[in-house]
Amino acid sequence: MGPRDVRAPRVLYLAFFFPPSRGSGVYRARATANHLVGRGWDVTVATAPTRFLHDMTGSFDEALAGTVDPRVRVERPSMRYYAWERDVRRFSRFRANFPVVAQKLHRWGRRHLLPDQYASWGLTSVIRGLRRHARRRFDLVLATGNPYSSFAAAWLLNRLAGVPYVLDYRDSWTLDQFHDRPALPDDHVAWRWERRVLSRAAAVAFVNEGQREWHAQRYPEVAERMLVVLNGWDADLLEAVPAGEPRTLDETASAARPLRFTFLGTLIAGQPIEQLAEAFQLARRDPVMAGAELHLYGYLSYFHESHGSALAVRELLDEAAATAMYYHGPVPKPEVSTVYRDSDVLVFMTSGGRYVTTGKVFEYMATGQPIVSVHTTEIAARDVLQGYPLWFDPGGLDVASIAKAMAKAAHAARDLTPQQRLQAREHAATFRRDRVLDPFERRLREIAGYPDDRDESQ
Amino acid sequence: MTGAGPYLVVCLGSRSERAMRYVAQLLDAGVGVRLVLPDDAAVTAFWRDGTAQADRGLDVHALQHSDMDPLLARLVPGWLRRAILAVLRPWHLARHWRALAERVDVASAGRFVAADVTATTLVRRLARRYPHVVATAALELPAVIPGRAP
Repeated sequence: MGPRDVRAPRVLYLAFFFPPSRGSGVYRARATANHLVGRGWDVTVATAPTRFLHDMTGSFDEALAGTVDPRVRVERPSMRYYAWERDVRRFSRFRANFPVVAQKLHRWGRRHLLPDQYASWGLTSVIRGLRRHARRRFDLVLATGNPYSSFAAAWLLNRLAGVPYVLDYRDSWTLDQFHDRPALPDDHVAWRWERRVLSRAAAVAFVNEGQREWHAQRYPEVAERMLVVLNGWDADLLEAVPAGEPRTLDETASAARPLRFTFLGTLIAGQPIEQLAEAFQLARRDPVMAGAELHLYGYLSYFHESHGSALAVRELLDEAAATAMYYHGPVPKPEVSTVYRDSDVLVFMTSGGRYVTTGKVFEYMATGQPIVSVHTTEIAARDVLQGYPLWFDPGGLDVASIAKAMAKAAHAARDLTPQQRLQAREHAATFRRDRVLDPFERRLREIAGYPDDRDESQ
Repeated sequence: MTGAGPYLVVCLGSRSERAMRYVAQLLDAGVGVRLVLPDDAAVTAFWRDGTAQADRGLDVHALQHSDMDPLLARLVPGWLRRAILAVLRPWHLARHWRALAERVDVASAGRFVAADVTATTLVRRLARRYPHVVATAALELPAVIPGRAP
């Protein structure tokens, strides 16, 4: 019996955005770490320093950290804060005395070494990873981007220690997902880096087929190692929503009570907020919508330093301010399920394109409630909504069409039977995170040299 | 800490549209500004530009009468001059502060703002001397604008 037969497979997970961060893709990272540890992996996560979350972005949610399996070991390699630090007292002595030279060095590094402002974190992650590897061998490195320094770090660890690595593209590095074109000029150093990290990757995961296809065309020599790992919804975060016994609509959408439309998610500039507000006003003329209210929950922009962006959204909300449209701010994670439970119709508003799925759509479906789409037709999220029996799709951003879809959803909410809700949830169940991650976990086992001998039907 | 006093905005590099726009925004918001520019020529150009009209809330000061650049231009070749300026200019300008200090009330400033990278060295020195004043490189408007409801 060799050593691999007696110990758990060991993975170093490079995930800069990990709880308590509430930054980009943090739920996917959280779920992946929890899933792997639940499947018997020894998981070490390298993530952002606490100071980055608290002082630089202000984007954290301590309650979310409590949802990480305690068996997951969390490491926080240090990083330089050149791009974020604004307090002149905290500048290094070199930066304070030779600021122009410091700026030129910083820019040179981004232009010629690694075009990513998190590069210093990537490097310290490599150093920390090598130390841990020397003590006890890692079988696999899994890197999720952005930031793409994690990809470079995985590549470097592979070159230095020979550990196989897998890349997980939550977003695209070189593709402008919103305009369907390369995000960078042809001679940009990021292209060389992307080719380099892909060339040695054991597998490359993408969040939707559109992204996989684009990258497969761009890098055909790696195409066969590319796969899709969809996002999903996390049963443990929605546990307060009754899963088995759908509530009867007598309780919630009785004729006596006005319907409650809800948007829950981060509000960012670029979302069709104006169309949403206009359509809602139009829809309220339908008798079924009498007294209906639209409630918006969520942060304004992702980071607190995005003050301008938050202000822009706030202005949009003010401009769009319509009767019975209310903005409530962010919802603590434990109360998310309550918000869903108190809603009759969910509004799926996003600024995505054909490469954008969003994680929120899975959570929406898991509630088994009517969903109204407010987005363009070219969006990857449509693929997962197809087949959801309570999806009301206006087919674009035409205000009148959205209003009609809202009215239809309102009728559906009024007439909804427990059976319909169960059917909706059955569709959503296929996107439960553990189901989505199971095949990925098996693939990781193969790469790490621990093939899974469990029955796949389990 | 965010003081209610005027902002001391230091802008010592080549003319920055962003910094000038910031000064105008502060004045629009009713925040007094003491603007420090590198030399007399920069002050003249500032008034000529008309970004901010002469205003009771605005004082503009030159750190020195003339730039070190013309002297360097005569003595050293271009590439070497650029290198010297990159290394020494922030430090050189910061040394001129002493002459200006008597004319500018720094202690009552609400905030020191390094409006460009060259201003960093001077603002850092001021920050060390006046530890009660916020010293920042962020071009932010105050969260609460004086005399206005939040």
